[in-house]
Amino acid sequence: MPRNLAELTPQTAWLPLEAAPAFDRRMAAHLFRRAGFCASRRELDEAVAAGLTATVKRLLTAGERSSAFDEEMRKFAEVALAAGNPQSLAGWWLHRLRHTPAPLVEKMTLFWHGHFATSAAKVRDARLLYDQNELFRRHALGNFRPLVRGIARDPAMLLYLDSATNRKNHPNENFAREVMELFCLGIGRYSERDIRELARCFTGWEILHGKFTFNTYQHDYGTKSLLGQSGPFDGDDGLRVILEQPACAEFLCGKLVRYFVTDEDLPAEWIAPLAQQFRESDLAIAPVLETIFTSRLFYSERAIGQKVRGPVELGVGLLRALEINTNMIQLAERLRELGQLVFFPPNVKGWPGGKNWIDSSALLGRANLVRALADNIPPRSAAGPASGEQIDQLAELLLAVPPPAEVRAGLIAQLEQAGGMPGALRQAVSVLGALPEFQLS
Amino acid sequence: MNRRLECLGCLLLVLIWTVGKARAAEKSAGELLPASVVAYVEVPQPAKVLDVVFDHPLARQLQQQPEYKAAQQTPQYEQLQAAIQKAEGALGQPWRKAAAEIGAGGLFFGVDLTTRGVVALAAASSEAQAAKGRDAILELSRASAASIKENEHRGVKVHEIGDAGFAAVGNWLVASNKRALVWQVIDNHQGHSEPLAGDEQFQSVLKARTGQPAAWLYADLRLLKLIPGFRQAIDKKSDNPPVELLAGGIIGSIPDAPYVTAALDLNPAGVKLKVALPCKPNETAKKREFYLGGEARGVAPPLLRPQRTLLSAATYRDFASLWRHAPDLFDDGINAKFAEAESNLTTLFAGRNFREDILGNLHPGMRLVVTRQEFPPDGITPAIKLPAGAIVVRMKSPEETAKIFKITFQSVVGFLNVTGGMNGIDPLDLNSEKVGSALIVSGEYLPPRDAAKRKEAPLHYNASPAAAFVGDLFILSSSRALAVELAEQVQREAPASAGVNSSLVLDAAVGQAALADNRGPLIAQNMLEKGHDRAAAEQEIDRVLALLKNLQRSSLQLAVKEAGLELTLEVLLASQP
Repeated sequence: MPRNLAELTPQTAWLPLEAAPAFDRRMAAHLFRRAGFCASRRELDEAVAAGLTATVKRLLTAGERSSAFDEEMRKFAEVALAAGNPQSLAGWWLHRLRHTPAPLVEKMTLFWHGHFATSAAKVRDARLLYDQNELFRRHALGNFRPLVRGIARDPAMLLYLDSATNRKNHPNENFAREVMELFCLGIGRYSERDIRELARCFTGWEILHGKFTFNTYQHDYGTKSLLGQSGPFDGDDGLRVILEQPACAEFLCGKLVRYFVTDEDLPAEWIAPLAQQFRESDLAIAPVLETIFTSRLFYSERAIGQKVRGPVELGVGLLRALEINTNMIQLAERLRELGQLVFFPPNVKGWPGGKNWIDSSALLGRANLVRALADNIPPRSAAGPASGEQIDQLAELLLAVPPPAEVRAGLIAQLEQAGGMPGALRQAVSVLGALPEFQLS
Repeated sequence: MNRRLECLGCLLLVLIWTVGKARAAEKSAGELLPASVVAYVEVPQPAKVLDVVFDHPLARQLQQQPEYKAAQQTPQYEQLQAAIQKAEGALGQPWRKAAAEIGAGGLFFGVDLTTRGVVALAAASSEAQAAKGRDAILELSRASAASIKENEHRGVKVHEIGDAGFAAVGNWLVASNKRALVWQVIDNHQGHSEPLAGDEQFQSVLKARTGQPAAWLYADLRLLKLIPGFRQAIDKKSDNPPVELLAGGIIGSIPDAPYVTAALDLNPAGVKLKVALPCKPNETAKKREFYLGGEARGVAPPLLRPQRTLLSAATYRDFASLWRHAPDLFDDGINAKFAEAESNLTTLFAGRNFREDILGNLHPGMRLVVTRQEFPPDGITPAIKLPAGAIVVRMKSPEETAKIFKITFQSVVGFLNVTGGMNGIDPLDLNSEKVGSALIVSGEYLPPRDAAKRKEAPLHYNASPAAAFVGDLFILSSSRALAVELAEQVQREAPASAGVNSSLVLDAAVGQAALADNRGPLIAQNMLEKGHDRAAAEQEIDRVLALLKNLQRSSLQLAVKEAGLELTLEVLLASQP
């Protein structure tokens, strides 16, 4: 495995990991931290036994085997929606993240939620937000093209961007601008004229009674010139033109790499191989993710421990790793304090992520969150493993990089001193959760 | 001679000691407690109380709950168990058996005004048992307290831990958070001080007591009123209208009441608490006519009993009088809110003055009923099923008032339709119909456009607001079906019971069924609040629903008698298999 960065180049970075050394527990834990929300001990055992390729395949296809869970979550959502309150919906999603058998699907749903950010602070109809969330989930690992077409008709998105009406005499440029700048191309890859022309394509696209409708009387049937192409385009034509731009694949793959691999902005030549694959697969998402999760770069020093955990990753990850449960409404509230309440992104750009998650007060808040969640650990059974082994297992589950030797030794001593006393394990998790190393993924 | 005199002296001393001891053994708790005790509690048969509580099938069920078992894993529980084991070791027998012997003659508590302390007295079966109890406390205290001092007071050994103290005094085991109280008990035991039993009021109350409750409380309000904070609290104007509405008459009677007593009956079938406040209700009624009626003769209307009644309450309250006397009853902040509300409500009630034309046109008395709703299989079923509720009042001049109420109801429905339309809620379809002699005006939400949502409809589909007019009665209900049922029922109801000011009945079996109707939402709530997966949440909710089946019925009644007020709370448990 190329641990040394000098061995990697843009051409070799995305090549599959060599056979040796074997896919070990640390690598498996890294994969689950990034492609999901941490692994439990059992999941690590299964992953190591199955090997890298099979584990990645299993992660990519888990959604196909989760129909019973999906149905249960749908019923659960109906009850949360009956209260009509987005905070309950946030609790519902956190519950789903904690228990999902398809963590990568949920991780991607969270990615799309940040990418196509829509906030309940403005769109107060919980039902519309739920429908949008389901749209993200349906296309989480599918094709970018129908996802963008879906979001262009999504009532929550259009209400959020004040684009519930778009009349031919006054084309609304808000949605058109965000499609180009934030959703598909990135800033600097279009002109103001392109925005105006795309807005004309979307005229007549309206939201009525919480549903998308096409108002033929308000559509501009004239010729539009968009990014070098001309025609009597409608909204779908406009989106087709945008998605055909080479910049689209580069933009989206760049975001995926930042989300899954490293907080650092990699130069364009490092992204290019992924973008090419994305274009060649007609904007299918799963093949790109498979390349990422089996790549040499993903298991290199440039990736492991090179991302700051987001609050949702931190909270849900701890619950999943330790297989514990908590009050999801309270967890949502604590995550809001740490800056990431799902369904409430700060603005249309979503959560900035990376180092922005961390400041001195956030560190204290994160340590408090870990302590509060650790209180849900049941009292330790008398027949647990030896203290040293127990601390190493915890570190393996929770940390991307090993804890400092003196911290490890201190925790082992504490655990031994406490004997079988309940609370000793909680204390150990709290100490690990307050380490700077714990903030890294 | 000297020798004979010495012997005679010794004999005399032994005799005095023996006679004194015999007299002391006969002393009651009232004779041992100081006269400054403001609250006295008596548990004559603690062993019986322990038997009822710990041997009840419900207690056994609770002990099977996972929460109970989880609590047994906590350090606090382990510490408690260790303490019990230590105590049992010191006592040489299981704690319940020891408690029965140490408290064989009863358990007594006193709250003392002078020392601001609480003292507990246990009348043991023998001096040896009392001493055994003291030694057990000592053993336990040694394990936890930093310093235990041993002193003597009038020849009795008193163990002191900081301010607290305990001692065995003859057959009595005495413990208090203030050692001075232990000394006073010893003083009284030896006849050196003024006891509570010397108080005439206490004596007469004890003498007049009937029955043998599991626990009995006496509080001397004359002494309590000497506490400045207490006096101010009962004399000051209220800043809380709901509290005034619920308890204003009781609070208003305290200044004239010399004492209060409470008797608790406990048996396997349930619990009954009766609180008596001797006073002159007709004097209280002069200031709080709204609560008790003129000369305290206000009577609550009969309770409503439609099908599936979850809660039914009836009370004598004159809202017009309450509103008129608000300046005497409430502080300035609340009065300002009354003025503001009056202005807004006058607008709502078609320009009629709310105080005079609306409340003034209602007879005193109000009834409230809450029922479990049933939703027809072919109709709309909300995802969360809420109970329906209704209030019933009597109008003084129905010809005029009924029209205003009808117009106001229609206006509110119109307003709801406008605001609902802004929030994407379907409108209410307003209808008017005659059912027998009743006129019923009701609104019904249009069905959801999406047929798939008819079985999991939003919350507002629980409501079909209705206003019903039957003779001089006005019924305002959250559900048309309930309004129709009540309109029919109020025409053939029994007369009100004399002397009952307020009463409330809660049917726990219906409550359990109403919760069971919402099993799905409760499970979802459990998943949210505890993070459980569905199977664990289902298990927990089903356990709670099964536990609730143990409750049968609760009732609360406030009776006004010539001698004072009497409040009775009763909780009945379902019969055990």
